[in-house]
Amino acid sequence: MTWWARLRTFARDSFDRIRMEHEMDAELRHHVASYTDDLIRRGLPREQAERQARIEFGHLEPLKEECREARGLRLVDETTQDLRYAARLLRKSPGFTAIALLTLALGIGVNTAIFSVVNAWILKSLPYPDPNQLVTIREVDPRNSSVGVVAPADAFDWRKDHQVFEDICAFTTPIFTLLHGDEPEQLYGARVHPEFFHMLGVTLQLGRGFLPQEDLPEAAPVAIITHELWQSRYQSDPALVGKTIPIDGRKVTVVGILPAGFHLPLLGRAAIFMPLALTDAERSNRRVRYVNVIARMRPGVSLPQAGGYLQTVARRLQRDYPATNARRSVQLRTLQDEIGKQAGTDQLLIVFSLVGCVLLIACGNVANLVVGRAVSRHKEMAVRLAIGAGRGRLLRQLLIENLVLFLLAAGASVLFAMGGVHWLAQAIPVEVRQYLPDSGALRVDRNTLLYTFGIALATGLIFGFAPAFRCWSLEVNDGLKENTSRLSGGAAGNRLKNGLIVFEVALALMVLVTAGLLAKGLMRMYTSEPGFQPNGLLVAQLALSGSRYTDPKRVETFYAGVLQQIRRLPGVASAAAGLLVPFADNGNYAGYAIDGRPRPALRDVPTMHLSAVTPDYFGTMGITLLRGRVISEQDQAGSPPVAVINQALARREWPGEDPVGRRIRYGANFANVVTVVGVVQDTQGQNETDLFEPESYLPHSQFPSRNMRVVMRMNSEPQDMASAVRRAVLAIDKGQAVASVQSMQQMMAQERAPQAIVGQITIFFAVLSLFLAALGIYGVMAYSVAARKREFGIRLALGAAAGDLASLVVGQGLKLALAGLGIGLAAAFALTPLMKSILYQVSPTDAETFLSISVLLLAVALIACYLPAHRAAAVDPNRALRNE
Amino acid sequence: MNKQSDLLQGTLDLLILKSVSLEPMHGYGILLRIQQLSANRLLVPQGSLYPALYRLEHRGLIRAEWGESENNRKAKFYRLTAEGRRQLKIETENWNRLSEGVLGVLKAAPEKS
Repeated sequence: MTWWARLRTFARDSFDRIRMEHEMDAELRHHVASYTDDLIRRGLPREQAERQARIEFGHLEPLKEECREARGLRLVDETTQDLRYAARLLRKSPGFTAIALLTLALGIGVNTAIFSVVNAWILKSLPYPDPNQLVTIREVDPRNSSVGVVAPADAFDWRKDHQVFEDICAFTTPIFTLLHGDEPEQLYGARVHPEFFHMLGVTLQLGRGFLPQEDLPEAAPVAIITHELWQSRYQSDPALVGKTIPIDGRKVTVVGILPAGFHLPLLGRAAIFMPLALTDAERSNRRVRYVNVIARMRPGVSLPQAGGYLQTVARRLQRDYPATNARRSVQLRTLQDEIGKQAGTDQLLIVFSLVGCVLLIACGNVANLVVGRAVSRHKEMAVRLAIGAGRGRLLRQLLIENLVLFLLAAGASVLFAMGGVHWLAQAIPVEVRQYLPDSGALRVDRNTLLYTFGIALATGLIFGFAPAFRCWSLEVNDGLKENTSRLSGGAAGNRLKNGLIVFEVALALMVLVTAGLLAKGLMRMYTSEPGFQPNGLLVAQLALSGSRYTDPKRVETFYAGVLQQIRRLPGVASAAAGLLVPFADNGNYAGYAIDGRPRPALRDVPTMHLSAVTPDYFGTMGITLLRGRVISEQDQAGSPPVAVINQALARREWPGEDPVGRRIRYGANFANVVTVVGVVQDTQGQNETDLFEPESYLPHSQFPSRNMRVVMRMNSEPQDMASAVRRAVLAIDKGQAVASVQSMQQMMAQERAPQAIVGQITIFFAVLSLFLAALGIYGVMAYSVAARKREFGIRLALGAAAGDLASLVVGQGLKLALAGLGIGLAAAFALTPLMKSILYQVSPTDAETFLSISVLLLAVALIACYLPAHRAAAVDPNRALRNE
Repeated sequence: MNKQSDLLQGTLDLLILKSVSLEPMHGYGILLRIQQLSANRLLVPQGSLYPALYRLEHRGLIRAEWGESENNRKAKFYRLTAEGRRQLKIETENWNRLSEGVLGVLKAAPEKS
């Protein structure tokens, strides 16, 4: 353990330096005194003995220095010196310090802000024991929507295994209606397998988990509620456990309270948990995939092992149940990954790399400043070399100076970072945040600070090394001879500076192109026609609960009644109900076949969205009818089944033909047939990038659904429509609640928030990097003009025109900008396809964007060169030449 | 031959460890002990003793504590640590091997040409 001993003595000596020096002194004095005693004993007079002892012992100081070095203390001493010197230098040139610090603090600050997001949403591990053993399982089926969830029967088959998995739990996320006094309230909830919380490793705050026998449809209903619901609705009453609360018209016993802050992003804002309690028929349902599955792998089992095992099970199911499972395979992902995917890992990583580019550009600028300063300090360095300083020592000193600068900037950057984090936290709407880990909370924590100082240290070393390294090659003689008025750093210095500029321009171009593509997408998003009239449209979400509504007729009557009530409300011009409303984050895919055409093979069945609407849905939404007719009051449960389709479906199935009168089959064995009676405009909001997908609208009377959204066209500013709609619903059925009432504008803003935020951030970074790159070009050109003043003077004296000099300078700058542009364009062209998934209807290699960004960057480079060029042209040859 | 400049650093370390292994000792005492045991054939330069001591303490081979010296002065006494004892054994063996080897070479009878 000698390293430990070394560390101990080093730490003791450097922390208690005074004692160490004191003891060293005492020890050496003891030696001299003892020797003196001996000399006196040998017969020398005291005075002579003291003298001789001291002479023989030699000089104390060098000896002490040697002792200190033996302890590694010399490094400490010299570093302290270097630090002091660096601080003095920074104080001495406040202009340099301010610009460098500001540039770096900005670069590091934006990085820290973005890192705090990455840290909070992607890196932070889940607050459960052994989170890496938790996985989500999905079934992949190419026949309908590429990746989906799981059929209950399949999940129950997996659950039989206990070799690979400790637990496999299915869950659904229904909406529950909780009656509070007379007030019904809709709350998000989840139905889960009894082992769910045990599997996660969550310990309940009060009460117990679910028992296996409670997972039966006939069992007395029980619930576990979140700490937050317990607190807000039941005043944290500990006696609530064991009592019943009315949920969906049934008395449900509360058996447990979850700990405060329990939040699993996959569950959204779930506040009430009940057992899955599937009926036998539901348990053997292999056709419809509608449960989600989370599992915990046994300790030591890896993801590929578990995946391999599940694939063999899937293959067995493919053999045993070809009708449903023929093309089904399984996809396994860690829970962490799954949550990361929902938190927008792709977007985040792209933003993260852009912000990295911004930092590199900032570093490039600072390195240029440092190179410039190092050149003007050649003489100082040469003098120090001449009087015996080691080159290593000088190198170390320059590096330390740079590190001091970068670390100071890191300290200042924390302020920028906190501002950025504050802005980001506000920019994310609550509706998006609920699916994020820790509810999207952002803060500058220890990890973030470690990162900040880590990148400051790394970039400080890397970008400090190039200028510092030039000390190695410094020739003492040349350095001393060098005339201080000749600032030019020589060919090597110029190469370094020019290289940095090319590098900066290339990076800036990449950031700009990315931002350009995103901005173009944003512009398309905001200016394109949504296919309906979003202004003045309100959407209320309803979900009928209770056993009364198993009868489709009653569902229809309920909605007819509610709509009638709502139409009477002041300000409402018209109202209708629809199953799938644009931007409402809903989906109901169905496989279909065209009547009269050969039945597609199971694996090739096409899909469409299947919606149900009341007659005046299209009028209320403002969706234009293009052909035929819309759904009418005459389309009743008993009348011939009809459908209105959108353009996307018409284009796909009957390009150039009239679809009206054609028939579509859907449902189990394609047993249901509907006749197309009309074609309507495509609407946006079916998916994130608003690409139009085929959709059919069926009359609600013929395709009754309990979970409808009520849309209202308002002709005046709505006044607290939420409570008005609630009253309308209560007038029809006292036990029903309204989940939410929102304006369409709000819903669109929410759906588009991720795109908008990423776009805004990227554009901000693009502006920042453009500015920094321009500053860099300006700096280098201005420096070069200052250094070549004398040369320009000579040129002028020999007859060059001022304009020639200006174009000389501009040409030089432009050459650098063009080189950077070329490299940047090539890199951008290679890299932008990576961001395809987050682009809104823009090609990743959109020529228009690439071209206009190049022109923009060149224009800015020209302006940045113009000022120094102007100065070059204004050189007074007399002054320049005399100024030797 | 000037012994002062010839004392190799490794040798000085070995001598210090050996001296200290006999009993805890202060710097001046170590100096005297080496001279005494070598019958004045080895003279340790006073200046190089202390850096060596500091180095050995830094390596954890010896440990220092303050005590009273024979003439009632406060002095720093060095003692061998367990690690130092191991190191002394190794270095003694190395030294023996080296000197035997050198002796073997020197004893060789001259080649007759």
